[in-house]
Amino acid sequence: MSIAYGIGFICGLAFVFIAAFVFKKFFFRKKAVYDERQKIEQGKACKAGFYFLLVYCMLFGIADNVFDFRLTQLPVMLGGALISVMIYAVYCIWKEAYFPINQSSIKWIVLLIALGIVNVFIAVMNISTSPQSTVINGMCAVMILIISIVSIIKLIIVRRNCSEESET
Amino acid sequence: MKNLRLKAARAAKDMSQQALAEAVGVSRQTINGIEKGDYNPTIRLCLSICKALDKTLDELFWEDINDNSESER
Repeated sequence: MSIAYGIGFICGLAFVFIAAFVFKKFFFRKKAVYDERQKIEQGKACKAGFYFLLVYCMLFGIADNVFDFRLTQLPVMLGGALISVMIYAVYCIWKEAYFPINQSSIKWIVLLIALGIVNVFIAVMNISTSPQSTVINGMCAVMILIISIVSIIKLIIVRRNCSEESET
Repeated sequence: MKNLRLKAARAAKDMSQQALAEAVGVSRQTINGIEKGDYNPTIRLCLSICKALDKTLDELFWEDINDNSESER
């Protein structure tokens, strides 16, 4: 890795942090508030994601050592981490514990979809130059878009339940 | 165990689950969970709900001792 690449990487990372800070300052000013039930469900979701990752790492170790199943390590390990994060997020979304009660869930869903599209764009851009980057960005895009889709489905279900309740 | 008294008190005040949730400062699913008996709220939340519905803890959340002793016979 050349020095120029390293500097570019650090600058890119710094830009992302600054952009995230500015974005949060202007679009998500209120501090996130979760009620007691949401915190309990988040704890359960964290446990589910953690145990999945444990089992995944164990299976990866077995595949790698016992069966001599040589897999490219970074995408496979990242895949496990992404799936465990996805388990956490999907569980929380389904139990209505993902989004804070004092913030608009639609804003977050729009942000997630935008991030997913950006990752898809980067993955497609790097197909010929960096296949590993394509795989990594592609996996991130899939995870983010799945979380977005589950959020939208849950939002539709919740709104339908609320309208049914108001009719009765 | 379902909390039908809470549901009745909320209906008497013509409040939706969302409206009660906003009044109390929790999510709608939390109120739904309490009414269905899927979630046991803390005392603090019970008191907030009682205040929002102008009811006492006994009226909304405490099991009637007389009902329990009759069912045991």
